[in-house]
Amino acid sequence: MKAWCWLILCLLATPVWALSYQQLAVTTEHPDHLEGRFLQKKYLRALDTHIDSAGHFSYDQGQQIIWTTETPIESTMTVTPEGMVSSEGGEDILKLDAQEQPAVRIMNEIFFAVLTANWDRLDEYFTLTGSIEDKHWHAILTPKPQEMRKLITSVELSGSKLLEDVVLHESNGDRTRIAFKVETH
Amino acid sequence: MLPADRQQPDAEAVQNALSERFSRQLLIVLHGKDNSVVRQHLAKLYQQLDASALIANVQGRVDSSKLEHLRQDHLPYRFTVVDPQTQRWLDNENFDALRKRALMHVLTPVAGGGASLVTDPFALDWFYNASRKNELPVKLDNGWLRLDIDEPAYLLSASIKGNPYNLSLQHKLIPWLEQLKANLHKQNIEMTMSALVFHAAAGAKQARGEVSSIGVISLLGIIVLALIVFRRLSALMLTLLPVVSGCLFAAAITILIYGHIHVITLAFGACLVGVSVDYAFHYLCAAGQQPDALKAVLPGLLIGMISSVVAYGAQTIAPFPGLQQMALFSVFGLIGAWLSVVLWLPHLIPVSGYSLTHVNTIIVCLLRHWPRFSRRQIVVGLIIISSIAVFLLLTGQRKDDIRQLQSSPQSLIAQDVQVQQWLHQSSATRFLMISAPDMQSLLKRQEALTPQLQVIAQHFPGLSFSFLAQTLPSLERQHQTYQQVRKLYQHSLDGLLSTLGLESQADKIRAHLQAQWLTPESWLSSAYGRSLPPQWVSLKSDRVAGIVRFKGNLSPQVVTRLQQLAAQQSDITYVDRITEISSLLSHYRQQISVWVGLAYLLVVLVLSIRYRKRCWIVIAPPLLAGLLSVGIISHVGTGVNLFHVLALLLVLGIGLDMGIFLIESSGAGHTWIAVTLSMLTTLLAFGLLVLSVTPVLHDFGLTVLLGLILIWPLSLTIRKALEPVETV
Repeated sequence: MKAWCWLILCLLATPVWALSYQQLAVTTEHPDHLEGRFLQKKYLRALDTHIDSAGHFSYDQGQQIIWTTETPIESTMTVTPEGMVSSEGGEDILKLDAQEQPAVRIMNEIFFAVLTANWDRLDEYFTLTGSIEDKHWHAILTPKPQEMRKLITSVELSGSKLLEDVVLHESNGDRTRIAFKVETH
Repeated sequence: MLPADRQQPDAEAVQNALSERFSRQLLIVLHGKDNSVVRQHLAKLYQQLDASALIANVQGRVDSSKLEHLRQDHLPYRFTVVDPQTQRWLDNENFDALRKRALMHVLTPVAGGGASLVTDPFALDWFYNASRKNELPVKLDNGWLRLDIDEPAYLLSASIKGNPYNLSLQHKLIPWLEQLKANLHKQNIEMTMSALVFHAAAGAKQARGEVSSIGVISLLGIIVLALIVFRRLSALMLTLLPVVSGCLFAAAITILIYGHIHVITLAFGACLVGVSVDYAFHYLCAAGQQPDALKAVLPGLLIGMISSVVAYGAQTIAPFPGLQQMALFSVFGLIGAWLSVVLWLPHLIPVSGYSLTHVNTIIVCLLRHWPRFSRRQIVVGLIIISSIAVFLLLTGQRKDDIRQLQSSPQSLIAQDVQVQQWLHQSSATRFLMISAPDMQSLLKRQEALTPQLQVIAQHFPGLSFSFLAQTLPSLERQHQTYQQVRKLYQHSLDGLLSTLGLESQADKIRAHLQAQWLTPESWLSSAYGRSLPPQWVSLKSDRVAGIVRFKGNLSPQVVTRLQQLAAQQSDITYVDRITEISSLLSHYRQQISVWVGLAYLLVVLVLSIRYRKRCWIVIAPPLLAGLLSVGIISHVGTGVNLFHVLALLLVLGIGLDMGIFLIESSGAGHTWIAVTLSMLTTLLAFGLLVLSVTPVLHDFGLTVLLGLILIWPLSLTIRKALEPVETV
């Protein structure tokens, strides 16, 4: 009897669990609309230097993400499931079509899935490891398809109810860290 | 059997280069419900194909090193070959846009990856690769080419080792593939295939099947007919002797002239020579009744033979090489058969001849009960029938579409259509051809043409063009681009780097600005170049021809635009192989129709010398029957084509024989037996071809069937009105 008590106590005392997509789905929220600020730090291995940028973003679930950089330049990029466009003065400076570019489509889907915590979609492309502790989780996503592994070694995500931090590790040694400060409405 | 294109040898050379690759290509799409199961069998199938001695060069598996190769192969040319958007900005010196795009590319969390700020700060290579469209609507899925459709479906392509028309290759390859397909089907996985070899094999199988089945039925029919009429085995032998000796004679002459004999010539030529049983029938029928039979039938035999030789000989003008040989074969076959009847039969025939009393009774009875019309009624009737025939001919349709000669089974065609739909394949038979003295002028010409093509493409949504200069600019253009990129570096690199706080790296980055020129040779050996169908062809005249392909719906309006474009420039040709060959067939149909008319006039002239006013009795039945049957055919089925007109020659030849024999013997009963016999044997030999699934043979058979069925009653009716029928 005493042994049983001990066992139960031990279990209660260790709140760090191996992470699953189901758990993440339960833990995180999926607001239809979300806005906030971001801080991005891009490390370039070839130059051994950081490029920092900051700005704000907003998204409508499944429809579009507007990503506005304020520094070092001002630019706005609209990401939709169809592709991404960044225009200035009526001219499209950067336009990538997901329909014609399978690679763009996959990157788009992942970007959407990460920001909107669409775990089902991420399950399609990544295997999950990580931990959860007192509603705060840290997830490491490793790409399943070979083609993606050529570009991305892993994606680290962490947060509680909402995503707070992303680190994208590229296979050439570059990495991009984005910290989110979300304002829910 | 198809004619060489005399008008456009260049277009033909280009088409041949395209079909060379196409003829060996085997496309396989594996699809099913469960992605992992499909992929598992895909890997197995890939190994099986790869290990097979019948298959060369299996594609569909892209390992990571290959992928890397594909991504890397443009990197050295990033300063000389750029994407269209970059090119536009460079041309307009819109360096600001290029700088902003580069910044966005660095800063965006999505688009990054693969580009290096040091070797390519403006990400020219990255944007070039991003603009490169897939030739096929496939994406890579774990190294496999996955089709862009809902169901998990993967593409494998291979090339067949050897000629797809080779029978022994077909015998090995097709059962093996069918077996693989059946095994996969049991696992709920579908294997959809498209390759010329299936059509070739189906065609060969069908031809073999028909030659044996239709051939055996007609031979049996002829034997039974001869036995019923003559009731002696020896008569059958005597009937077949001229045919056999005629064929031997013809084969010898053909080999003497051509050096070889085609198996199709032998098969069809032998059929045509089969008409020479007529001669034997006439002699044998007469021999029972008259003491000096040969003397009695000789004029008829001679005139009949000459008219048939004229009719068959006309086929030598048909520009189909196979047909010329066949015409030569049948002309000499007839002469040989005729000689053997005249020279041998009188010595081989039993002294008593053959008794025809039993058949004679039937014929006489038939002739007696056949309605008799007055001369006036006949004339009015003939006028009415010929008006109907002319009316039918004028209102009927002609069809010279080469595609209707296609006789592949529906299931094969359906598979092809399905695979082509999945792969959005561009048309291999319609394209623009640009000829130029050398490669660099060709590329420059294509570059000059690009704006005009863009205007057309914008006009018709969904239409796109692909040609070599899109991925291989001329050296002149590459030099120009390189100078523009140097200007971009001078103008905007410092600004870009200062925004990113990387001013100190400027020298290191500038050191990488080195031009490398993309030549046709290196383009061809690149992973991308090898993945595309042929883009240019070297012509005999030391010139080169480039191909501009279309994708999307080629509506008549688009075709008109393209034809206008080609008409404005002498070095551009709009090629549509299917329409071209079809119009060639139409041209030949008209030519041969005229020739048939002339040949008939010639025969009329010859006959009028001997028969004077009675000449029309010989001429009218085959002429009317021929016109009427072609008139009917023009209203049923697909319309009149070249092969109907060729069959008309046969109908006229046999019909003339019939008229000549009847007029020579003054409508003797034994002659009626002979002409009826010859009509029936011809129906058995050719009319049965109407059962063939092969359109050419079916058309031929239908014309003969209708023509002969019409000739007999017409002849009988006309003769009965004019002359009393003799009974023997």
